[in-house]
Amino acid sequence: MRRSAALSLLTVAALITSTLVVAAPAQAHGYISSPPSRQANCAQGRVANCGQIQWEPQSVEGPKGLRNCHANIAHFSVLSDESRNWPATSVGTSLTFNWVLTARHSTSTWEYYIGNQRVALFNDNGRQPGATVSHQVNLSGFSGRQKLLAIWNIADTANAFYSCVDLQIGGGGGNPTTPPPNPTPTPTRTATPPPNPTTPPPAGGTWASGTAYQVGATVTYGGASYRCRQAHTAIPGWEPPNVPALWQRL
Amino acid sequence: MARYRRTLLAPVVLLLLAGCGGASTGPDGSPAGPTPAPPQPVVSATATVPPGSFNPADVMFLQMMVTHHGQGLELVRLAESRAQRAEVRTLAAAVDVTQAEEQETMRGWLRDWGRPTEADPADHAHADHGGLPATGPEQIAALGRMSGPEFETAFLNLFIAHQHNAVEMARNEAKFGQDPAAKELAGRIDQSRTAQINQMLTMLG
Repeated sequence: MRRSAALSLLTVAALITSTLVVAAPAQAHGYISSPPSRQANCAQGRVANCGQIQWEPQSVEGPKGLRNCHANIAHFSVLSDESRNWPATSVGTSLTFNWVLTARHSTSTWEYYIGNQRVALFNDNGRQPGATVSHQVNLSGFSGRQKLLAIWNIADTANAFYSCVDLQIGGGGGNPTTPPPNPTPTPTRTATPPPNPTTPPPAGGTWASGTAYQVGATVTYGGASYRCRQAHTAIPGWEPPNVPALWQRL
Repeated sequence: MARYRRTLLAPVVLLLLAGCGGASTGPDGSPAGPTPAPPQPVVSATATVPPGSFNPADVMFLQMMVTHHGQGLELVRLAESRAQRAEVRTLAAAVDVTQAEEQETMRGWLRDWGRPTEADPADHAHADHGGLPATGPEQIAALGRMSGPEFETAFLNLFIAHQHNAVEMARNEAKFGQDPAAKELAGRIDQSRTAQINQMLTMLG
């Protein structure tokens, strides 16, 4: 009796597990957050109309050995579209790349390429990384606008994760000495608008995502009035009735 | 991918063995199979919760999210005092109060359902194998030793990764959960954390 109960428990567990696993959506993994990779630029809306990658910048996973920005994934092909006028970050010849990881896959190596030249290699020998990883990379010998391809090679699968980063190299940091090769002006990173730019409503206006609210500000939402209890920039999911910690109903 | 498959299995099996899920339906609400569910002591099924209103995926989501919120609160409370820029401190403070509130809501539901109110963060089945996300005590401790611009960059990256994990858990709940309130919360977690990630990526710029 005891045994059959245990067996059936395992059966249920196996069934539920297999359902979860089979149906699990593409999950997790990692990308370069700064200097912003192409997928990071898409995620934060600095480059518009990127499609699905906007919602899962960490998912550019493909077989090892590829040399493009989108890992041969058709619905991420925007990442390899050079007509997109990707913003380039002005940097010196020595810089730090920051990865954010959402699954700590044990890692063989991290590779950085400019064109066909591998400019940096970090060997983790199968170690499991933390949630964030930083690499100092020396780009001496390069200048002007460059597209850098960074690759995270997973130790225990055949796959890797790909991130392209557009750089404007030179001038000892921040001051490019060479004009960008393309005729269009390089979009430099000036003051960035909030994710959902809206004109701040007058006091007592309708709640609007993207607005910075100070303590005491009043808004209306869904026919009710609310007063701000905690300074914040409004975002979807933080509508006044959903977050009493931010908004007191009047 | 292969790793992820392995990783999902451990916490699910664990939770089932621990009786945390304990319903006779699969994650999608359909019967789990011809084998009858084993007899399980239901701790304190309250009269207000009709049977079948929640499933093991709901329970797992809430337990993991309560624990995840706890780690998030540790991170933002460091940032509230140490971040240099006002916009970073403001975001951290707003996340603090909203996540503390959500955490109480989720604990309340779990108590109503007669289930333990959190996943064990020290359990390696969670922490090391993807059941619970990448943020670990050692990374929070390392952040606690930083200051200045170094702190701000490290905090933003760590919290971006942390909130990505929240989004992933919320999307799983949307797919596999059953309880309407838990699924509605998951939807708002998906939206708000995605927006926070975008704000933080901009701050990193």
